[in-house]
Amino acid sequence: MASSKASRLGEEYVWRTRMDKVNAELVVLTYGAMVAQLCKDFDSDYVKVNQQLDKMGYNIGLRLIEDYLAKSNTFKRCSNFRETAEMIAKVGFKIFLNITPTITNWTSDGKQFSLVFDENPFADFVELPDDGRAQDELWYSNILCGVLRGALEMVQMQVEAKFVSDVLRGNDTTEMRISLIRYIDDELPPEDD
Amino acid sequence: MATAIPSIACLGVIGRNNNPLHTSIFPSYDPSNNSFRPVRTPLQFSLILSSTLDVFELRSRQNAAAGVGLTGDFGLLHAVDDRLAAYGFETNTGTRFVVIIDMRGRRIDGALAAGLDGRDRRLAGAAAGLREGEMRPVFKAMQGAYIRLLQNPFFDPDEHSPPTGQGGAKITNKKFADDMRRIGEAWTPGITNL
Amino acid sequence: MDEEDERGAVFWRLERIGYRVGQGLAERFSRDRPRFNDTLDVIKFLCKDIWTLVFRKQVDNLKTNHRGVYVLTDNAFRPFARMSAETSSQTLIRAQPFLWFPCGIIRGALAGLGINATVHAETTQMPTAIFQIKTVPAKS
Repeated sequence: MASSKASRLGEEYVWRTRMDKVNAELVVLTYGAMVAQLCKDFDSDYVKVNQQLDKMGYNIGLRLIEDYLAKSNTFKRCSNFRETAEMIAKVGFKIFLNITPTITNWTSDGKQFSLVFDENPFADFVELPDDGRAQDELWYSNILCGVLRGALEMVQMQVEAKFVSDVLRGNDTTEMRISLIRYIDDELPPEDD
Repeated sequence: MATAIPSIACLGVIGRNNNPLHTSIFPSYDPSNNSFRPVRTPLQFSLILSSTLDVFELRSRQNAAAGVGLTGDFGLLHAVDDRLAAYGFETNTGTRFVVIIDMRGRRIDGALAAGLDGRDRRLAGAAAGLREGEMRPVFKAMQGAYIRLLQNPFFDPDEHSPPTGQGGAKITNKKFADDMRRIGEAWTPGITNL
Repeated sequence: MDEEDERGAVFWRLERIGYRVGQGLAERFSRDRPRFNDTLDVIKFLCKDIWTLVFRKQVDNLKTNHRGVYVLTDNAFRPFARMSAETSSQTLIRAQPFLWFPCGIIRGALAGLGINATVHAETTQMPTAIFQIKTVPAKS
C-alpha cells in the first residue's frame, strides 16, 4: 500500500508541476565537469574524490529536504524504514531526477535495502578514465549517497549510503546500499494518531 | 552474375588544427580470392585523408563567398580514382568527417538484384554512382558519436584540438572507435538511418 | 590560505568547470543550425541559444567596438534572481562567485567554436550582470 501511494505521489508531482526546470544536459555536463575537475584537483586519488562527492552531496541533502517536503506535499512522517525507502525511490528520485530506482535486497530486520538504478542520467556518455584504477576506485555518482545521508539526517534518520556496484565500472547493475544506523536521539517517529 | 555495389572503405575524423583524430579502415570484397581485405594500406588512406584538407578549405571559401553550403555537408570532395571517392562534412566547431567510399566494395547477386524492387534495386543501381546526399546518414551518425564523445567529462577537447592552433592528440576513446566501426560496417547505399 | 588566495582558487576551479561545460554545449547545440559567417554570428548564438539554455532567457543587450571586444548585459541575471537586490558592497562581493562559472561557460563555448577569448564579468547593481569578452586574434 505504501508502495502505490508513493508511486502516485511521484507521478502526481511530475504531472502537476512544471517547476523551474534546468536543462538536463546542462546538469549532466556540469556534474561531469565537476567530477573530472575533482579528479584533477586530487591528482586521481579516487578515494578522496569519493569522499568529496559524498560531502558535497551531504551539504546539498541538508537543504534539499526542504524542497522535497514542499514539492512532495508530504506532511506525514514515514511510519517505518520501508516506507522511507518507497518515498526515496518513488517520490524523491522521481521529483529530482525523474527516475525510479528499484528497491530490493532488504535484510530481514528491515534496516538495510538496495536501490538499483536501471538508468542513471548522470552517467550518460561517461567513460571512466582508462588509468587502471578509476574502474576499481571511483564511484562516479557518489554525490547521490551524500544527498540521501544529508536529507535523511534532517528527518531524524542516521543512515549509511554507499554504492556497491556501477555499470560504469563494468558491473551488471548500478546498486546503492542504504543502511539505517539509528533514529536520531533514539526518537522513534511518532505513530499515526 | 554478380554486381558490385559501394561500401565504406575508410572513415576519418580530422581536428580543427588539421590533425588526424581518428581513422577506421574497412575491408572490401576481393573477387580474385573471394575474401575481404582493405583496398589500400593505412598510409595510403592517411594520404587520401590529408589530401582532402585543401579541398575543404577551398570549398569553404567558395561556399562563404556564394552564401551556400549552410549545412556543413561538402559532398564529394574528390574522386581518387575510378574506385575510391572521398566525401566530406565540417561541423560548426571545425571538426571534419571524411568518408572514403569504395564503389566496388561489395558484391550482390546480379540475377537476384534484377528480380527485386525497392531498396534492393537501388542497391544495384547504386553501382553506377552515389546520389546527392547519400552520405548524409553517415555524417549524421558520425557527428552523433562525436557529440557523445564531447559529453564524456573525462574527454578533454583541448588535448585534441589545442587552442594554440598546433597539433593535437588522437582520440583513443573505445566507445567512439566502436561507433565508427559500427557505422562503417552498417552502411549500404540507400540506408537512411544509422 | 588567506581569503584572497582562496577566492582565487575557487574562481579558477569554477571557471575551469564552466569552460568544459561550454565546450560540450557548443558541440551539442551548434549541431542543428546553419554555419557561422563570422565572430559576431557566434556571439549572437551565445547571447540567444546558449544563454537561453543555461539561464532560460536571452542576453538583453550586446555591444561591440568592432575590434574584438563584446559586452553582454543581462538585466535580470538568473543566478541573482533570488538574491537580495540591495546594492551594498558586501552583497556585490558575495554575488561575484556566481559570475565565475558563467564566465567559464562563455569562454568554453567560444573556444569550442574556434574563438579564443578572455572573459570578465562584473555587477554594479543587482540583478544586472555584465560580461566583457575580448577575443584573441587567431594566429595564422
